[in-house]
Amino acid sequence: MAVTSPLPEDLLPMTPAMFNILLALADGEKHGYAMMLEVEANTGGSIKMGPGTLYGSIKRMLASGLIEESDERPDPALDDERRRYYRLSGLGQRALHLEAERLEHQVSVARFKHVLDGSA
Amino acid sequence: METSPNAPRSLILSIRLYQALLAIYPSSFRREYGWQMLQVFGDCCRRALRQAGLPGLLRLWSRTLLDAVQSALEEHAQRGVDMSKEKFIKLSGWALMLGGLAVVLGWVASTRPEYDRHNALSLPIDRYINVAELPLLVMGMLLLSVGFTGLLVRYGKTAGAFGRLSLGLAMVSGVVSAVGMVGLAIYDSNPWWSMFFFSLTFQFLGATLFGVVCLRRQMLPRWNGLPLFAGIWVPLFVVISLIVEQNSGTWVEWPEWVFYSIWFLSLAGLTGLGYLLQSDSQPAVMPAAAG
Repeated sequence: MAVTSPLPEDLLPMTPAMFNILLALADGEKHGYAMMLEVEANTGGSIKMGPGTLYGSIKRMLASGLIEESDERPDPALDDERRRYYRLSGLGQRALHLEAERLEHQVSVARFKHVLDGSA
Repeated sequence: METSPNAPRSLILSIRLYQALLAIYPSSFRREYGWQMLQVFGDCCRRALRQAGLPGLLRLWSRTLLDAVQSALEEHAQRGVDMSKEKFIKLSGWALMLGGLAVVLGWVASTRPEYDRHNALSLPIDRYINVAELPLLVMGMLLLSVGFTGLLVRYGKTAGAFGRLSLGLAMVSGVVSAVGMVGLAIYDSNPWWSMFFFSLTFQFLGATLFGVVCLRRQMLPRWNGLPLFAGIWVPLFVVISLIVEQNSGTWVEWPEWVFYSIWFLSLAGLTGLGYLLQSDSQPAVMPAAAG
């Protein structure tokens, strides 16, 4: 059964969980726990995903073609070979780029309105 | 999931409890991700114990319980929505096929003369055909609207704003056209005829515009030209008739084969589109709000 890929613009704006998972995968493939740690670190601990939220998001992002499962497995001596690794797809890279641009624009509006220096 | 023989009892107990907790998720989700979730939770437990001991583990549990309940509810809801959407899309595929057929049969019925035993052209069966005309046309247009709603549910997210607007036009126009048809049957006056006729045209125009989007975006699994083929004949006929009327000053009387061609081409397109829709009924799963 065919699953139609949406356009990257159709996926915006993203939820914080989705954006942060994509951001965690931006520099290479990772397994679930590594993604969870990176999201926590990147958000200063403000987003702490549990396993349910993490894998629910992964399921939906796989279905919409934003990420894909990596076929390569690490050396079993270094890691459990049953762990699944995920990476960004082409659609995921474009969607992440667009969302980052969108957020950047919002920050520039906030800066223009002096929100960031507290004089608003 | 295996744990080291030297693992603290709190870790072993936590992993066993979480394994039992996974039962609250839908079985398909559990089969696909259960082991991975257990693995991640085990890693989280080890980290919590290493960093903050038992209090850290308890804090992790309080967060995890909340996460489990929330995400399990989300998965069950998503599963329910996907299943009912899938069923609706399948049915709407059939609605497109039957709607097209009903409209064509209704139109064929409208070409038959009123039953009159003294008229050699009138057949005894016309007695029933005359009665069937209105229900067939009304039902046909409403079924087509259901079909276009199914297309919107299935392809709305990938069709973009213009595609969604086109399908919305087709849906609404079908309902308005059916109302116009009923009004025409009761009052037999020009405004009702215009309402019926132009709404019918807009219904097929909506399908045509959606067809243009399909051709541009190539979003159907196959036969991307089909919506355009199904939709274009009625609006094309109306535009040509209006141009001819503009130039000649009278509404042109087209031969009957023109109408037959228009309706049978439209029916062929709608049947193909309905078949495609009901065989491609799995809605595209989009990332839902999470975290």
